[in-house]
Amino acid sequence: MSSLEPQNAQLHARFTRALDDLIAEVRDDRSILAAALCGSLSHDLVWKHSDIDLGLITIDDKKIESGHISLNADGLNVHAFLVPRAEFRRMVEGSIRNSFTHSLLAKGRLLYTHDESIARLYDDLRVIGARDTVVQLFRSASHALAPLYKVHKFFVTRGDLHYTTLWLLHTATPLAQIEVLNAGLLVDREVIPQAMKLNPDFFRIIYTDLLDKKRTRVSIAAAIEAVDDYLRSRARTLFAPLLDYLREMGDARSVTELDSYFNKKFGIESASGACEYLADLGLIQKVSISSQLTRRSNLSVQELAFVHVEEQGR
Amino acid sequence: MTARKTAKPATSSGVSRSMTAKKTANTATSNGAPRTTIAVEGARVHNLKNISVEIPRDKLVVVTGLSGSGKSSLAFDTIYAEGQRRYMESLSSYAKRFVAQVAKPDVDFVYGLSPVISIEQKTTGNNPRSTVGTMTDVASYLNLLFATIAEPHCPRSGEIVPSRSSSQILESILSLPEGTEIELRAPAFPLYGEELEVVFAETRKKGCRRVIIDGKTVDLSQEVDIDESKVRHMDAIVDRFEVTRKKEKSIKAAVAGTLLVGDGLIRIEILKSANKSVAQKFYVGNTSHTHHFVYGDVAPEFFQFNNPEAACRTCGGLGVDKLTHPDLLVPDPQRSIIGGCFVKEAFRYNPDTWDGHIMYSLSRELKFSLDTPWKELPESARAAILFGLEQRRISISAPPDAKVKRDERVGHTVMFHGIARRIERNYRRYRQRGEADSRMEAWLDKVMVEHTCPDCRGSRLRATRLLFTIHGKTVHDVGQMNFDELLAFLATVKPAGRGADAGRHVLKEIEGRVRLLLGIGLDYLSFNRRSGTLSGGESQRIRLSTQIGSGLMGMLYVLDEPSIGLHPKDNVKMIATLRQLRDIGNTVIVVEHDEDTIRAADHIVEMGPGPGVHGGRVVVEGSIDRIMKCATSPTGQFLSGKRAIAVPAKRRRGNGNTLSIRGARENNLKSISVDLPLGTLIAVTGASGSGKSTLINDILYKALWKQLVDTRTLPGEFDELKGGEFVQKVVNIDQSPIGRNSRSNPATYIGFYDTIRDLFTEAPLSVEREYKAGRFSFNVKGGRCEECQGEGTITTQLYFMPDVEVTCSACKSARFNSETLEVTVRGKTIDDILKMSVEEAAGFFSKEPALQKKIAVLNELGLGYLTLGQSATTLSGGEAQRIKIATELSKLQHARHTLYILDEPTTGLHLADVERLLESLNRLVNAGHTVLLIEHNVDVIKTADYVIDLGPEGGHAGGTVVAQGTPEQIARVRASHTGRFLKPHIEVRK
Repeated sequence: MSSLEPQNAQLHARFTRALDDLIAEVRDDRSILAAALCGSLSHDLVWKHSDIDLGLITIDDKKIESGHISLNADGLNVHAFLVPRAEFRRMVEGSIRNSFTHSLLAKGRLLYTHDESIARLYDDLRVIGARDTVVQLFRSASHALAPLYKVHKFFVTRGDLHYTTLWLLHTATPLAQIEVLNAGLLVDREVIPQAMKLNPDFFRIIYTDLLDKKRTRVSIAAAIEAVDDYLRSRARTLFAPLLDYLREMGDARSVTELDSYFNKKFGIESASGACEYLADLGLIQKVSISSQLTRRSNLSVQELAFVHVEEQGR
Repeated sequence: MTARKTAKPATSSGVSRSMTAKKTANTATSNGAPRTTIAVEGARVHNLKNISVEIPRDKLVVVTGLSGSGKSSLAFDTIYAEGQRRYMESLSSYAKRFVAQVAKPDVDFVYGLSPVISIEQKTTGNNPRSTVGTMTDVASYLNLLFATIAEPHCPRSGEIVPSRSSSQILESILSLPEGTEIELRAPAFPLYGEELEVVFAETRKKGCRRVIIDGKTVDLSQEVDIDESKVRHMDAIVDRFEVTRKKEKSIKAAVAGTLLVGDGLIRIEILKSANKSVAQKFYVGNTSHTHHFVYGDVAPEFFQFNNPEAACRTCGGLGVDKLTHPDLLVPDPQRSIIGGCFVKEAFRYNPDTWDGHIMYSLSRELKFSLDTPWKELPESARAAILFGLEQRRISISAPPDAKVKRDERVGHTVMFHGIARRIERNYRRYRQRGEADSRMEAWLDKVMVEHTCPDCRGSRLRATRLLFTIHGKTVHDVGQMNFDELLAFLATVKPAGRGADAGRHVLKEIEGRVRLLLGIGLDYLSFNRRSGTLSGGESQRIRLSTQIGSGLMGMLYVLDEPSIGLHPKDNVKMIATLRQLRDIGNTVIVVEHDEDTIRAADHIVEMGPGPGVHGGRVVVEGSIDRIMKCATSPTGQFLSGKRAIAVPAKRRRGNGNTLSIRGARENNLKSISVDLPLGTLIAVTGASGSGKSTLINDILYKALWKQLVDTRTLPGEFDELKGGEFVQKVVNIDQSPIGRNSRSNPATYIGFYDTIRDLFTEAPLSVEREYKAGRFSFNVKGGRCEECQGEGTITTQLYFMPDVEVTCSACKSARFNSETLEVTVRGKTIDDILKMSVEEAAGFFSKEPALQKKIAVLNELGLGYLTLGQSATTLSGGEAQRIKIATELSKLQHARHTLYILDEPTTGLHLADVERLLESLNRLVNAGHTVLLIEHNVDVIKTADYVIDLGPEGGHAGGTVVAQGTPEQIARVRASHTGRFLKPHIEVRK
């Protein structure tokens, strides 16, 4: 690796020079208020096939619309996205912290601005609110459940270690997001290396060992158990919005209703998968309520529903 | 104009007349002189007998005649259809694809046609977004008026708030000294029935992370711990700037963005300025004093309830919300919960389901039995089952009859929000989240009733729209005013200030339109009235006023009975309106039976002499004098007084029983009470909009229907119905079609077609071939012609040309296949029978008494000209109504007292037809039943045994009982408009 370092330094210098030259030109364009560097060059390593991701914040003008343009800077590809200031403000303020948009901007850096309000908005990107973290944890945990279901299915029904491993690896990204979110950090696109620094033992079992070591029924079972434990022990926190909602409602809610509510409110699809998981853990109860199959149905069927029951006296 | 005594039949002489007329028409055009007539040559539409007629242009022309004599065939299906068709022909092929094409009427030619507009008696459908205001376009003018001159108020303090364009707001900001720091905020309002969190989520989606709640800044990305009940004011922080000309475009975009978030309101806060007086001066000149608000870019659509951005967010601009109704949820209160007292989609007890567990647990908690009939359950239990237990939790118990034991739940507690609340929640989700395909929708309608929306209270608009007032009235208040009140109100409005000039112009437009509506007797209506609640006559008059408002000349208007639904006192206004339409240079052709309108006409065309096959010719045409002198004209006979509907020598007193409604107060009814003597002919009269239909259709009919047929029926508001036990059956005989497709006909509707089919199955050939009754049905495979599937015709759809309907080549319109047609009864095939007129059939079936009786009734009601298989779609409303009466007469049951209700049964009927109708209605009364008519026709009212006159006027000024009694008693009541018009008729009798 060490022999690569001088090459990387050279490459990095080339990218930086190209960017500087480009920015020197753009700075004089009166329709561009600010430039922000995003992507690898801002916070990671570049290689020969890297490009430069550049955000250009334009003046607000009815003749200027948001869009993308691919530029060439000293032979390097620059993918620039143009966004008027008002739209940029909406992106910054409206995006949930640690969502893709937020992460893209927050990991970057402001190269220059002619408008101090843009610098202020950029500074605000560093603030990660607790409410947003709760939402992102719920989202990541929900994303981990679907592959985890496949893990169990293929391990139990077929004993297919390869396929089970593939689905276990699918759980690694959302689990890494949970780890990073819990640490109050910005979630990177390459989140697993980030999480490995925070919880090396866990990610060794469910990620590196699965890739590096011989896969046996015992090692796979250990990885599955680790994932199960990880989620089970954090379930009340990870699925807090869902548990709070059902607790507050107090009576049974159909899957249609739950999916509709969480999709509308948090943009999370298939909250019902999380409900199944929580019911398996005994945190909520799986029940059913009457429903009709079609608008013209002349009889009722029982639709899957969930309810939060409390022990008497609580 | 050439007046003719009669039109001759379609013989050689008819052709020669046609040639003469063509010559006249051609001469007129070749002279270059303007054409003074509309000449119809060789019209053969429906029953028209190849007639030719010339109608003077720029005159008020009435086409009259018996029901089914061919009036509409001439006016609508020939003159209007041809005018419309020729206009359509002028369109490009591309445009024709989007417009329903009109087939060429069966007529040789029509000369002298103008652009033609037909104003029929169609109701405007039931689109809840259509109102009188939207129909007449006045709603748009009112919105414009409010956007121009209304005074906006602060949503918090009620003080006046300036309204500016966004450019003006920008200029005011830029007028601040450079370096002044400002923050643009947008007020955020709680959503009805939703937690604040929903507002927070929406605000965030609009790009605002921080809100100021009662002075405290809250970051929405953080956990918000707040007592929602104590929140008073919320502002979202949208943007912040240091004022400088360089940032003009950014500030402009931010102002626009803030107005979007703030629903038209922006709050400008100066955070830092050179000195206090700068800020003070800015606020005084540009914003409201207390909260520094300003309205921006308020345009007419700001007040438009059909605009999603302005519509109430709870009801979506409908003004009504739906709530479950216990009577609909529990159609059979005699049953217990286990016995299935609820609508099955709402709840059905099953001990193995969660709902079953909860219901059982609830019964244990509240100590009631699931076997007790619903109506015997304590009120508190019924309320809890439907509407829940608020915050109280119930302990889960397992029903003893559950097959699957789920002990893990037992002993835990859960909340219960009620069956009705769950349905309402689903409904709100469906509506607010636009889940149009929700499978819940269909049955939700079955158990829910409309209520005024609790959020907008019926105004259909968001609360911020109601902060704009003119003389203290909101756009909704103005829309609620009756037209007479509205005109008086508009007269008091004197626009001043910025939008004064534009405001005066808009006011003039509105006043003009309101005057037109007042001129045709619609003073009791308001612009907020839903179009679906208007009668056909009211809709027609509104459309008429719109036409007059257009001020076009040289047009040809064709109207269908504009007098329908009008009290004689308002009919005068209608006639004046028709004259006005003529006087501005239009030709007005009116199909009408009303005596006053006929007398007001410049030219009259009487079709006839009889109905159906006996009609289709011009009996007489010309002036009123000419008509009255014509001995063969039934109209002339009535107009000249040679023939009249007789006033009965003696009024019936009834059977001694009385049906009474107490405290009726639906719509404009002012808690009135009326008594209906049973066993009599009763007329309910009164000005249009006085409350007749509300009292009879919405209260009396529905209350009896609920009592006798369907307990889920919800009548209008009233206290008590007394004497309901004396009525065993209630029948509403309206003018709706007897069937919606061509396969329905009088024989199938009355039910004697089955008997006819039985006769055919008994024919020797049928017996030999083992044909069953189904063989003689054109609705099922077997005996019918499969080429046309029993229709007799085949319709080919063409893209930009009218559909072409041709006689089926296989059966030649016989509708049955050749094997079926081999079977005959007394020499007639089933096709021959269906094509037989009622008159013929009465003789043909004289040996089958059951059949003969039913057919004879049709004949007696003047429907002898109809064929037994005549398609329901070709029958007029009057004909359909008489077929329904015939059905009732043919199955008269003396033992069961029946109340027959008829709403304006004289619609479409000539006086000669009215005479026959009355005869048949009197047969029902003489058989011991009660007939109740809602009627304006004085010739009918005078024959009633008892009259209930409502009014005195329509709308707010109506809704009381002006008089009750015999026509003679009514005529003596000075306050009664009906009495005034009745008096001369009663005096004639004396």
